Amino acid sequence: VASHDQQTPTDSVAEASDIRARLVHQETVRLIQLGILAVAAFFVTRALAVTDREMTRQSGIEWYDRGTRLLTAGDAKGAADAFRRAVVTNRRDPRYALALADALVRQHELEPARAALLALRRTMPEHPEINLQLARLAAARDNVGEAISYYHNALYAPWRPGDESRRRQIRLELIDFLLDQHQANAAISELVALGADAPDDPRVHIELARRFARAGDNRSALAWFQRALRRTPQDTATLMAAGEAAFALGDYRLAHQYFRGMPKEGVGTATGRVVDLIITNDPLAVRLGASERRRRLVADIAYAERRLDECRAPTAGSLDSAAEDLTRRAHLAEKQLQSRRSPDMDTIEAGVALMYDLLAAARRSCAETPHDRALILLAQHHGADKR
Amino acid sequence: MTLTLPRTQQLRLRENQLFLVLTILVGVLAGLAAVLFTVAIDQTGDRLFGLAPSQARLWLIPPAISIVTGVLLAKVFPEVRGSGVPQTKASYHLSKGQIPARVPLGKFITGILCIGSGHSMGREGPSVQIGAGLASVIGRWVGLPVARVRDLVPVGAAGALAAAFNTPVAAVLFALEEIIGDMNAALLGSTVVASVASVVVERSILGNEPLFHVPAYELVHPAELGAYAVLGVAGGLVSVAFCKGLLAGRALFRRLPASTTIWQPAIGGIVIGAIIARVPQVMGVGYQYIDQALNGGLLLQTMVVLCFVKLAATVVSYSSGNAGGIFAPSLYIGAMAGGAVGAIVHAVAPFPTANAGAYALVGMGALFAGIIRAPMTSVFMIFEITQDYQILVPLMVANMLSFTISRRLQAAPVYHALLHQDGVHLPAAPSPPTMRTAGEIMRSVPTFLHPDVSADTALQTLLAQNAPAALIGSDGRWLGTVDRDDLASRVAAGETAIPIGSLLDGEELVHVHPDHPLDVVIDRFPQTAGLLPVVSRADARRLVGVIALADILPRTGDTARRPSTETGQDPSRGGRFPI
Repeated sequence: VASHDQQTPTDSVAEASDIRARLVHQETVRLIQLGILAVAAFFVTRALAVTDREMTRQSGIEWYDRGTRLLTAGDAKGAADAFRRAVVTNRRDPRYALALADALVRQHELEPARAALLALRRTMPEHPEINLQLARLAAARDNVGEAISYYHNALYAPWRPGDESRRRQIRLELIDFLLDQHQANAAISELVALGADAPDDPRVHIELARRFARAGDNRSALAWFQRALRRTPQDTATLMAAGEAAFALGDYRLAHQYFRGMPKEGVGTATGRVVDLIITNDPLAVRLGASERRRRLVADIAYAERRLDECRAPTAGSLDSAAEDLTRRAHLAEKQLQSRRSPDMDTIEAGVALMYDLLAAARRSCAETPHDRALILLAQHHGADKR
Repeated sequence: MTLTLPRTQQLRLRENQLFLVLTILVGVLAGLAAVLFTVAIDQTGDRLFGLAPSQARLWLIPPAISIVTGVLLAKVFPEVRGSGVPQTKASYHLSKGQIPARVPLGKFITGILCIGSGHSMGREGPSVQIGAGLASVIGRWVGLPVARVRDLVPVGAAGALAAAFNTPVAAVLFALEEIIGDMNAALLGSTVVASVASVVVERSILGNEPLFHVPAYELVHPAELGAYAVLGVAGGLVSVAFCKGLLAGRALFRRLPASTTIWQPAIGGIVIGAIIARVPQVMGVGYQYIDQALNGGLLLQTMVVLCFVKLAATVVSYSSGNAGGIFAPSLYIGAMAGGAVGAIVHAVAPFPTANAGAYALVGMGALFAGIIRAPMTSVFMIFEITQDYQILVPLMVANMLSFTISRRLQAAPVYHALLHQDGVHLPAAPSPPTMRTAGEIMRSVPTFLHPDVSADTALQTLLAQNAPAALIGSDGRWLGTVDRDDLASRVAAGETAIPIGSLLDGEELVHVHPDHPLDVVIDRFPQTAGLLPVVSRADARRLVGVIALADILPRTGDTARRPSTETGQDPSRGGRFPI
C-alpha cells in the first residue's frame, strides 16, 4: 500500500498499459492455442470419419453378400432387409438398389421396389438396368405408358461397346410387352428398328420373324423366315413357321412348298393338311388342264352340297328357302358342268362362288372341317366372298 | 492525420473483434464435435451390435450399457440426462450461459453410450448441448465478460446443430427460435457465422451428401392440400400424444425413490432391449428408415407399426433418464405417420396424389412443429433437406395445423414442460414495460416453519403474527404452504400434535416468479391462502419473497403503473405481518 501511495500518475498509466498488454497477449496466445486445437481436431476427426466411411462401405458389401445368399436360399424377405441395409451404406452403388428391387418384387412389394429404384435413378438417370427394372415394374403394374418410357430410357441409355446383345434382348422384351398390350403398330416399329442392325444370325432372324408374325405383319415375318432358311434350309421349325406365314398371306403354293420341305413327321400339321387340300382342290390353279379344272369344281360343289345337306339334317323339316335355293343351284351347276367338257373361266368362278355360298351356309350349323376350311380359303383367295 | 478512438471505444471494438474470431472458432469446434459425436455413435453401434446382432445381443446390450451410463449420469454427470436443449435454454436464460466443462464432456460420453447401445434417441439435442457447453467453456477460458459468454452459448448450439443435421439455416433459426426465444435477436449475425463455419468443416469431412435423399416432390393436385391438412391434424394429435407420453413417463420415473435414480436408465434399457429384439428398426437414431419412408420404400402397415413403436421406445428411453434427444425421434415418428397418411390418401383419394414419400416429408415437418414448437425452423429444415420449394405450401399448411393443435392440447412446449418437471421455470414472453412485476412488490421471506413443528405450535405462531398461512420448509427450501384456517380446524379436532409437514398434499404449489407482471399476481392470488410465494426460476423450491394482499391492493388503484423512481422492492417492508 505504501508503495502504491507513492506511485506517480505516470507510473499508474504505465502499469495500466502493462496490464492491458499482458491481457492482449494472453488473449492472443489463447486464440492461437484454440486455432491449433481446432486444426488438430479437424485432422483427427477427418481420420476417424475416413475410417468410419470405410467400415460403412465394408458393411455394405457384407450386407449385400448376405442378401444374395438369402435370396438364393429363397428368403426374399430376409434378403430385402439385408439389401436395404446395404443401400443405406452406399446409395450410389446400383447393385444394392437393383438387388433390393429384385428381392421386393419377389415378395410382390412393387411400390417399395419402385421407390428403391427411383431413389437410385435420381443419381443415375441413364443407367440401363435401373430403367429396365423400372419398366418391368411399370409393366407389372399395368402402367403401359410408364413402362414404354422406361424401356426406351433403357434402350437409349449410353451402352458400353459389346453390350449389343443385351440391348437387343431389352428391345425384344419391349416388343413382347407391346404385343401383349395389343399395340401391334408400336411393336412393328420396334421390330423394324431391331431388324435394321440385326446380326446375320438365323436365331435372331427367327426371333424377329416370329414377332412380326405375332404383330400381324406376315410379309415381314415371311421375309425374315426366308433369311433364316437361307442359312438353315432344313430347319423344321423354321420351315413350318415360314409355311404358316405364307399361309397367312394366302400364298398357299409357297406354303405348300415349305410344308413339303419338312420331314415326314412334320407334314401332318393342321395347317399343312389344309394347304394340301387347297392345292389339290383348287379349280382355278394355274397350269391345269380343262378337264382337271372341271373335275375339281364338280367335286368341290358336290362336297359342299353334301356338307350343307349333312349340316341341315338335324333340323330337317324346317328347310329354309335359302338353303333350298342353294341346293337347287348346285344341282343345276353340276348338270351344266357335266354337259360341258371345257367350261370357261366365268363358269368356273361362278362355280367356286356357289361352292363358297354352300359351305358358308353349312358353316352356320356345323363345325368346320379342314376340308371345309380349305375350300372356303381357296374360294376367298379367288374373291368368291366378294362376288 | 491519425484518428484515435477513445479508450472505451477501443476496448469495445477489440472485444467485438475478439468475439467475431471466437464465433468462427466456436463454430468450427462445435461442428467438429458434432461430427465426432456422429461418427462415434456409428462406431459404437457397429461394435456393440455388429452386422446382424443375435437376439441375445439385442436383449442384453441396452440394459448392460445403461448400467454404466446410469452410474455416470447419477454420480459423475448429473446435468446431462435427456436431450440437452432444455438445459442449454436454462443455462442461457438463467445461468448467464455458465456451463461447466464436465457438461459437454459428459454429454459426449453418455450420449455415445446411450444412443450407440440402441436407445431410441437423437443425436442433435446432445450436439446442441455439447456445442453450447464448448462455447461457454471457451468463452470463459479466453476471458470474455459474462454477458459475452452468455452470447456464445446459442452460437455454439447453432454451430453444432448445423453440423449434426447439415442444415445451416435451420440451425440458425433453431438457435434464435428455441434457445434464445427471440427471432429478432442481436445474435443473428454470430449464429450465421458459426453455422456456416461449422457446415464448411462438416462438409469437408463428411462430404456434401444430404442427410436424406429425397425426390423432388410437389403438390400434384390442388385438392391434395386437404389431404395435407388432414396430415397436419394427425401430426398435431401424434405430437400431443408424444409430449404427454414423455412427460407422464418422466413423472412416473421421478416418483420412484431417489435411491433408484442410478438404476433407472437400466430399467429403460431392459424395456428397450425387449422392444428392439422385436422391432430393431427403432434402434438409435434411425435415419436410414426415415430415408426409406421419404422415398416411399415402406409399406403402410410397416410405417404404422414403426410410428407407434418408435413413440413408445423414445418415451421409455427418455423418461428413464438416458442421455439423448427427441429431435430425431420426432422426425422419425413424423416421417412414419406422414407416410402412413400418404399411403392411405394415395389409395383412396379420387384425385391424383403425390407418392407417400411426399407425405412422409411433410409429416416430419408437422411433427417437428408440433413437438419442438419451432415452426419456422421446421419449414426451413425441410426446405434445406429437399432443396425444393414446391412442397413448402403443403408443409406450411400441415405445420400450422399441427402447431396449433399441439399448442391447444398441450399448453407448455415440451422443453419448457421438461424443465418445469425439474423445478426450472423458464421466462415466458417479456412482460409489458409499464406493468410492475412480482419482484417489485414482494416482501422478504418470513421464517419457514419446520415440517416437524406440531399443528398447535404452528397455529400459535400464525396467530401471534396475524399471518394467513404458514410457509413450511427446511434447509432453505420451501416445501409448501398450510392455510391458517385449515390448521385451526385440525387443532380444534384434537390433532394438535401432528407435524405440519404431514398436512402438505403434494399438489402443484401456486407461485409466481419475480419477473411476472402484476396481472399474473392478481390472477393467481385468489388460489392461495392469502400468501403468494415468489420463487426463483432456476429453482422452484427457492423462495425469494412473498406477496400478501396488502402488497397488491394499493397498486391496483393506481392501475399498477411503475413508479417514476425505479427502486424495485420496497425496502420499508419486512417479513413480518400483520397484513
